[in-house]
Amino acid sequence: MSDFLWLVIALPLAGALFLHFFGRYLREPLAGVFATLAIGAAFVVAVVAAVPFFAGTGEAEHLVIWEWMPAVGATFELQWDPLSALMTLVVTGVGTLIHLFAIGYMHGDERFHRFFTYLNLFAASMLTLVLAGNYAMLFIGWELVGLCSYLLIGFWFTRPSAAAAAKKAFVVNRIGDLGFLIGLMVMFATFGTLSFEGVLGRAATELTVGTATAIGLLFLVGAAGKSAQVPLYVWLPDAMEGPTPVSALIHAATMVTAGVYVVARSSPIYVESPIASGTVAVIGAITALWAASIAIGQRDIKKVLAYSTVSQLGYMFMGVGATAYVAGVFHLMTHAFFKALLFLGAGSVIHAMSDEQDMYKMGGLAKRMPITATTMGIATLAIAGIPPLAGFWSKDEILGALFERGGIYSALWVVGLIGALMTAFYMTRQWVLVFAGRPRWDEGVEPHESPAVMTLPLMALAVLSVVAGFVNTPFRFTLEHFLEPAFHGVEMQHAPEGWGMFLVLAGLSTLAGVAGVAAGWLAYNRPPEVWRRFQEGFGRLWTAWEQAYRIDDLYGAVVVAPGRRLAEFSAFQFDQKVVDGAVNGVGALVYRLGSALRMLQTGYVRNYGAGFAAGLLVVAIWLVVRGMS
Amino acid sequence: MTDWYMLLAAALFTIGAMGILVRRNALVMFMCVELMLNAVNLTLVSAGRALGSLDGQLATFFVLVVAAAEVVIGLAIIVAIFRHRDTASVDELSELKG
Amino acid sequence: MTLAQATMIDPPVVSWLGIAPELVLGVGAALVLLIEVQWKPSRTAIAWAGGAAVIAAALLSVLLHARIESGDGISTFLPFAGMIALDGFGVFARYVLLAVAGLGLLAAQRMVQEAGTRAAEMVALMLLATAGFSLMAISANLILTFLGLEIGSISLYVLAGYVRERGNSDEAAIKYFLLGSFASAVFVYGVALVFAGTGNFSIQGVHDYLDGVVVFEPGVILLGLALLVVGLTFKVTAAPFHSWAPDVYQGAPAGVVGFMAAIAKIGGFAGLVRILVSAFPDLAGDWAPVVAAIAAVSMVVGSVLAIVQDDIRRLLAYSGVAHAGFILTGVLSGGEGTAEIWFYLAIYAVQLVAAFAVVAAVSGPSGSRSALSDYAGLAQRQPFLAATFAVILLGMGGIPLTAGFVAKFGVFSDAWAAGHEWVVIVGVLASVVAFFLYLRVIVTMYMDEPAGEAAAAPLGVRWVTSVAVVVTLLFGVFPGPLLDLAGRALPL
Repeated sequence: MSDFLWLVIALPLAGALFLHFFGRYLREPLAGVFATLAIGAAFVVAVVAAVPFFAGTGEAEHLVIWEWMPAVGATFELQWDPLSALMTLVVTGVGTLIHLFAIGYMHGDERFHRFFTYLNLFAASMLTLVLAGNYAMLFIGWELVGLCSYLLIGFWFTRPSAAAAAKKAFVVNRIGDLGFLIGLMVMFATFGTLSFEGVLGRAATELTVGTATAIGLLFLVGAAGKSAQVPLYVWLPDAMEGPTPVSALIHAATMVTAGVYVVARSSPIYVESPIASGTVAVIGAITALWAASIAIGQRDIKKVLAYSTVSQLGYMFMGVGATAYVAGVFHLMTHAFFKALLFLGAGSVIHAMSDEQDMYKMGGLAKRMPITATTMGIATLAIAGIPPLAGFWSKDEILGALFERGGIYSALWVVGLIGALMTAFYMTRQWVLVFAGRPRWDEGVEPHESPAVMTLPLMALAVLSVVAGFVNTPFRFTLEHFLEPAFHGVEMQHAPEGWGMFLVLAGLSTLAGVAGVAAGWLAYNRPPEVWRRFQEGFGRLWTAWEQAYRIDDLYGAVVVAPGRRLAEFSAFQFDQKVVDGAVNGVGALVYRLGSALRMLQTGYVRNYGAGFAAGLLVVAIWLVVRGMS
Repeated sequence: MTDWYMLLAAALFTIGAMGILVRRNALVMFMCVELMLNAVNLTLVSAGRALGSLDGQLATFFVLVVAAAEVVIGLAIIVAIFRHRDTASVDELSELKG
Repeated sequence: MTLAQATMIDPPVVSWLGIAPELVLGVGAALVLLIEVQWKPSRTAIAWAGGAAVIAAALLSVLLHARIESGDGISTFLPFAGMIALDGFGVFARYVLLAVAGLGLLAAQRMVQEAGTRAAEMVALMLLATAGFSLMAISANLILTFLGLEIGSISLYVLAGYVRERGNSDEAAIKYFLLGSFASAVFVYGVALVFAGTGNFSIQGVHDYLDGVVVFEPGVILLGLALLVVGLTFKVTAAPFHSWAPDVYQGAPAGVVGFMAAIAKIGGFAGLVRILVSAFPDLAGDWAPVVAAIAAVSMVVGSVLAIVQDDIRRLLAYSGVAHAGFILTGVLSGGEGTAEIWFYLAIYAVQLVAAFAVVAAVSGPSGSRSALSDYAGLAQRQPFLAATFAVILLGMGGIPLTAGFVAKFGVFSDAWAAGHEWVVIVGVLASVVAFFLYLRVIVTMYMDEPAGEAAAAPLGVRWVTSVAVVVTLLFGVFPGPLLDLAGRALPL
């Protein structure tokens, strides 16, 4: 059926390869246009392949592209079901818009083509991840997106902070990857295979609760690393050192959702283990609240969005943790739209403000940048959960499912509501600080609206942020039906049915959203002295938010410093004496052996002849003596 | 009777091989190779005779032809070296080693 | 045959198509020389004439392959009174040999240009060497094997000393010639002794003889077998019969070294596998330990000696010793490993030609020195050449997803299945050591400061390295087709 599906991965990969080798010969916009076309074509292919799912006639497909070495069981296979289709459409669709935006944003960068090479490479890696037909391939994609993320965060590697941020992301993700890898080993030991078919199909019958819990928790470690959950979220805010389109694509819309995807993909395992699922939900709730509070105190426009992303990922974790997989994936999709829009809008602002990121030095930009202001306003309302925008429906479905699940999940529901309030507040604060009020610009800054190549993606994403929610409302569960084949046989949590409950729950979350927006507006749509005093009113709490609870310092003291000391110890004591000694010993042995053997290579023909004759004698005598006896 | 021819051939072959190991003059070493080939010829002929088969004698011609071809190339190489370096001692051709 | 039978001899079956590729190569060599004398065309034209002969031979091989597979128009698979074997083994060997010849001609492009009036000789010699080793691969008779070996080897002796006035080319030639003819004499003495013991020159005859009777005095046969094995392992540069290879590959002109090394290895292994697998399977219990020991020694000695080299050509030569050991592990499983051996040989031969093509481009096509320090910072001076060389080296090192990995995996798993576990363990350890030596070259190219300017690589070299990269990666990722083709390369 979808035999051409490999094109989805191959197109951006080909783009990356082409740009790698020939990109330097393309003049500036061409490299970007080329990369955009590559991923755009992938989007078209994905749409065509997904048509049966839209029509409701599609069935999950498993495509073996090639068997690399059948003896080892290493197979390149793709999974094409509604879940991977949805992820693919989001990655390629949002990816195309972000590529387009980046053409304008990266204008004038001397490594322009290199940027698009990485961007295309990232897209290919991410698509490998979401299209993988087995966990081994998924892990390869998982590692590749990590690598691309590292390359792109450190794209402006001449800035020390960018290089440090790239390193931090790399190290923190390794911790998560380690957990994921061990989980994969447990899985392989249990099932003897890593293919989705083999594992997920048999999970319900063959998996014990203990093993399911072990795999689930180990996967959670990996997912928490990639999706920036407590306590491994610290790399994501720093990752904002990368160019803004990278933040939009990788650190908002696609890569960071990989953790959510893995949990949703592994749903047959998670439903077997209430403990693992519950842990996912609790981690998500803690993250949602924690990061939202930090976001309130930020003054860097991208840092607000970074913490907001962490917080929203927490919502998705709550959803999939409560086994409401459709709700989690739904929020993943809508979030991809409005968060990408917010990041791109922020990029447009930063671009206009000549690389200024401090919101305290902005203000009054709405007049200068009407399109950016309007679109970002829409996104702000969407993420705040104001009906009928996209964020309202998806967040409400998660909250409804939590409420319906009851028990400890009711507590999480309350957390979610508080988080929604905070989200609405800090997002409104951001919009007001940037676009409303009087200008607080530095001298010499002349903001201007961005060119069409940048505003077009903004408008497209704004439309999506408005309408995307309608794919799954309590009135029409289109997405639910769409995703049905992917979660076939998995018992899933839903929001409560019936008008009454819906109105109550939706009313409560709308109330939270409206309250947050109102509070943000009232507090910040005033002269700077007033809102500064408002902030000071929080006292040390505000300082704590502003400094992100100084978690980095804490990690520095608790983890990094002892770790460094341990590393130093192992490097200078253990490593140097024992490991290095052993390695050097073997190396020296090889080298000495080689040097000794070299002596035999005298350059004299008769010596070579002698060696030859000696070998001949040994072979001949051995053969004859053995054969005769 | 044939065994003695075979042993003589083996002795010739060994002498030839020893020559390669101990001599330094390229021309002499080359003659030693020829001696080895002739030992092969003697083996072939005597084995053919013992087996009552013509194949042995026939094969000798092939070996002779190959030996002749080797003479052509070998002498050419040795002459070229002699012209270039004014020596036929292979010990002086030992810059390549290690 | 007896004297009585000789009087009523049957006319042998002649199959011109069966030896057409070799005929084309031989006639092509003669024509190239005649054209040069008669018309004095440009050197490029001469190279093209050589290339045309190779292409024609390849096309004929394809035709022959189709005939053999279908059996159409073939009255016997052993024409010319059983001298030639028409089988998949020979066909695949031809493919590999002709590929190496074609790539070798491309790689030698600049040498041909510099050779002046002697360009035709060089092309003719390359064609003749190919024809010789090709005969060796298709031979079903030990005498013909010897003839093929000599035709190939003698051509290579001349090629080694081709630029006699420069560097150490003459030293390489005389060393190669003296030791090579020594080894040939050993080989043909082995043929004579096998004949004396079995009364047969034909591989099938030897096999039938050993199969049919309980041999009372196997001493002569075993001695003959020992000499055959030693003579051929010399040609494939297996230790301890390898000592000539580093000197010759360092001294001979860089433009043709890759061709020389690759084609001799293919021919040698074709002969060795055919003789051991087809003629002496019944003595496998005797020769397998010997081959295992030679393989192990080769892998260790080659890797260890390569590590301490400072000259890239010696390094490649010693790594070739290790590779000979790796390939020999495939021989251990008798006929089972033939496909894997051919896969390995095909991949390695292409990589070898390409690697020496890079050497020729960086260190000059005719010189004799190619210090590793010449390669410092090559990535900055010649990024394309450095990148392709790096891929080729990684392939030689056997990184997963390169063809080198599949090849090593194949021969090792065969040897393991055949019960030679200890050789495989030695082989894996040697691969680790060998990997560092390839890494060392890559690090030198990418991490060190550039040393001087390098001339741009000729187009031919770029083509050769590109082909090698494609082969390395393509068959690393999709080994299936080539493995299938090699799987049909079985001797009769």
